[in-house]
Amino acid sequence: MTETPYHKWICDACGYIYDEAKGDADGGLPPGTRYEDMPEDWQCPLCGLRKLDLRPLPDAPAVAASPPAAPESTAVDRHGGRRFGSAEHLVIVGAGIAGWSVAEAVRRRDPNLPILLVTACEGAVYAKPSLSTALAHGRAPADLVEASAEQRAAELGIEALTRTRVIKIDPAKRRLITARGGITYARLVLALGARQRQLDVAGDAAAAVLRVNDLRSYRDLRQRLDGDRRHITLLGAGLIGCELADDLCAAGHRVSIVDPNQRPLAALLPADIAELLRARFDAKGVEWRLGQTLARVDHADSALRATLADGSTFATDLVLSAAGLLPITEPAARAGIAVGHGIIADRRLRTSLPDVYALGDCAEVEGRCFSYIEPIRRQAEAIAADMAGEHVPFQPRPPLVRVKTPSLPISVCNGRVAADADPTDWRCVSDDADGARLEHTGTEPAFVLTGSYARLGTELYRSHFG
Amino acid sequence: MSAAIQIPKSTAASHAFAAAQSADELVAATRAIVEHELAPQTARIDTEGLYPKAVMHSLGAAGAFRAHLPDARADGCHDFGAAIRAMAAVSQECLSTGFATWCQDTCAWYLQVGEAQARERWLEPLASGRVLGGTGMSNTMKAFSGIEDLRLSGERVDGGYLVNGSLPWVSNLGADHVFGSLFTLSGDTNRTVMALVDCSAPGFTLRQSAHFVALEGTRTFACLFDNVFIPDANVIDHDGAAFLQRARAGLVLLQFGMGAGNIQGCIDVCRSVEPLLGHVNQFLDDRPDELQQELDDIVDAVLTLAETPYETSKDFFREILQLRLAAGELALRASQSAMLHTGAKGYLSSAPAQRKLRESYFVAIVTPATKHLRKELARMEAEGASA
Ligand SMILES: Cc1cc2nc3c(=O)[nH]c(=O)nc-3n(C[C@H](O)[C@H](O)[C@H](O)COP(=O)(O)OP(=O)(O)OC[C@H]3O[C@@H](n4cnc5c(N)ncnc54)[C@H](O)[C@@H]3O)c2cc1C
Ligand SMILES: Cc1cc2nc3c(=O)[nH]c(=O)nc-3n(C[C@H](O)[C@H](O)[C@H](O)COP(=O)(O)OP(=O)(O)OC[C@H]3O[C@@H](n4cnc5c(N)ncnc54)[C@H](O)[C@@H]3O)c2cc1C
Repeated sequence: MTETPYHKWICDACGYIYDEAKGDADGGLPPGTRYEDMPEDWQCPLCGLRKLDLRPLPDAPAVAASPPAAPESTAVDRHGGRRFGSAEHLVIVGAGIAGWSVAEAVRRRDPNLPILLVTACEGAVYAKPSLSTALAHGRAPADLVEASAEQRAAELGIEALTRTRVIKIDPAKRRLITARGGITYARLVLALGARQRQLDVAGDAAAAVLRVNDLRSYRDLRQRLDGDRRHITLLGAGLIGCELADDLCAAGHRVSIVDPNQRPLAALLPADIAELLRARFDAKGVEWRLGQTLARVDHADSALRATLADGSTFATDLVLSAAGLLPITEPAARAGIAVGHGIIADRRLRTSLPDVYALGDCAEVEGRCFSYIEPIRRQAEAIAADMAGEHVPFQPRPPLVRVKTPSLPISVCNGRVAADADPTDWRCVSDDADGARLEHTGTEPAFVLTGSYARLGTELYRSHFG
Repeated sequence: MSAAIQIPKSTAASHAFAAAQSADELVAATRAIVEHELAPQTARIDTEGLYPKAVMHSLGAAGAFRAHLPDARADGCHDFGAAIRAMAAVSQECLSTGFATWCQDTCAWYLQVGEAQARERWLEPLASGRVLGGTGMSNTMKAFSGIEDLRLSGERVDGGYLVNGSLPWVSNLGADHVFGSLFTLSGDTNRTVMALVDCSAPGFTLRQSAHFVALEGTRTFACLFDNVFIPDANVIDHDGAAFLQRARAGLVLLQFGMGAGNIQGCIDVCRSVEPLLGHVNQFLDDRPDELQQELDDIVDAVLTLAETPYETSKDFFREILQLRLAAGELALRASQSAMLHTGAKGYLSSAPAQRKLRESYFVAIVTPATKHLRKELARMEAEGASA
């Protein structure tokens, strides 16, 4: 027997890494399962793409042949380095999937362009969707990190300036203002992401309401859970709220969900599917407070007391808010860049200012903000192409959303259409003990798959959108 | 208490400025006072330790001390940017007066973010400059950073507190002045109280200390407390720790008025000799254009942060401290450059360059000083890395 070493594979869309040595326990693949032996219908646990979409993980992704020598002004200057960038630099703001994807896509085309990535956070590379499934998978926050900003920057041959917020953009001088000093750019990419909406909650513990949207806030959450069984109040029964609720239940916590709507995922799912999800959560002991909002939260003994708008109160240990994402636009708006709901960009991801691009959760293309992973890599490619003078525009598509709730796995395509559709608009392809498959009969393609049918999502999506 | 200082009656003139005034109008009014009233005295303030009392009252009447105080403005808004820019206009000419302005602004800010009773009594007199005041908080800031122990302690008595202890240097003081400071409660060292100290109170002594190389015109004294009674009416906040949390961002933000003014003054000095000496000065480091860009970057950042002085997050305060450190370091480089650009002319004892050199060290050593900032930032970075 020959001992060939195990290989690692990376999912093109979301960056999930399949390590043959470790296998994929959730997908039923024991450690040591080689790529060749993976079933054809295997699905990426993060984004739902297929085995086909895995590519060998390069030892060092997209390394610059020899990292470009830092131009004069970017080297730590003689006064302790408060000057960064240069009139040649591509400066990327944000170290989420969007920021790193642009760095990779541009570096692949141009091994020598000086690139500086600036970010307010610590810049670690991680798959954000895992934040709502990590508890059930027994993963600590540190396990989610694939590489530190320094590691990834070195691999790509770029510079990274972490824990540095861009306070202001000065397009006239092509300069970014930060507390560490000014940054000069030739071209700028805004990959600022989105923040969780802050709800108006009164009470002396209002400041303790947590919003999980990045590694740091997630660490905070895990620290407060503290290995104990807790009662958690979740504000918002949207995608992130439902996923977190299921994950918290799986880890043995008790959960109450507060939402002004009458059913979960009201903006994404047809009513009867939402009711089914609700029933599955009921079985796990989730307590629903629907048609309600949280009015106040106060300290009470060693815990908190939540008061709803109708005056009812209950005791809870932790309040988590997941009430919707708002694209971060302020730095752009203040610089005179056109902003709608997000930072407005065309199909080349160009904003209203020359040489300034936007992508990811902060961007709005043709009136739509995408808050999903799938479009981001395609947007990053479009930016790299445009910078190289190629014409490969981004094609907006209705999103395929996988609701990562093990209680009832769901894939939904074109949720906006799905949520508002009349029951008579659906063709029920299958509905049995394993789940359901509903296809919309209107002109705009939409479908909903539940249970074991949820796995068909990618295939069906491809049949519609190629 | 009968010894309490008399608050001068307000004049019609100072009330007129309570109406909302634009930041540009305020800066223009400040510049006029600087040019006509302050500039003729700058050299004497520096060398003889003359305290610019009349200038301070003029600045107050012009509205220079109220821009950042919502409860002292007709529109109820705050404009820290305007307060910082006005202080910078003063500091560009004379840092003694610039620092006195900071003391006044900051003392009033304490009342703004403190409890209602003291605010109602003291905010308007301080905002208008009719009562002059200071801040004895260096010790407090350092104590909360674990650098030294609190020097004042108070004991609860009927109607107020009896305070004992001493503070080394507090500026902008006089027999008829007040200042904000913080003391621990004896018997419960975890609790602190923030109060306004009346310099005329029995048991309180101002002691003239040795002389400084600059900032002599700031009326800086050692403050000795011997059973000084502080009535409840003058308690700014009964919870000192929570108070400091609210006050600290504004306190440090205001200091940029001193730094930005001093640095701009140095750049101006460099520029003033350019027509004559540009042909050799071009061989120097830290040319005025380079310094100007770094200053503009700092000011741009500060004026943006100054829009949200009530923000209490750690990240926000870290940014303020990073910029504060940068301002101190840039002040030292700018004043050094002013010396080198002006040469022997700047070395004359009457020259602005050498005064600005001495003044610039104050920007770097006043609390939070360069070393304290580096210590605090190192701690914050380590905390962020392990978080
Ligand atoms: C719990 C959870 C589960 C999810 N599950 C899924 C899923 O299953 N499938 C899916 O497709 N999508 C999912 N999403 C959405 C997906 O994660 C996001 O669409 C994607 O991660 C957004 O990436 P981004 O790079 O645009 O933004 P972000 O990851 O938010 O990155 C923004 C970056 O910008 C930086 N930044 C912001 N402002 C500044 C500034 N002023 N100066 C400097 N830096 C700044 C931030 O520090 C950060 O580094 C989920 C999201 C969450 C929160
Ligand atoms: C002209 C003038 C006017 C002033 N006016 C005022 C005023 O109005 N109000 C006011 O409150 N203050 C005022 N001050 C004080 C000023 O703000 C400084 O606090 C003062 O100069 C003392 O700071 P320092 O850096 O010299 O002290 P430090 O050198 O910090 O010494 C203080 C103590 O801290 C310790 N220490 C120092 N650094 C560290 C460190 N990194 N780690 C641990 N321990 C450390 C030292 O050992 C010492 O015990 C004035 C000072 C001057 C010169």
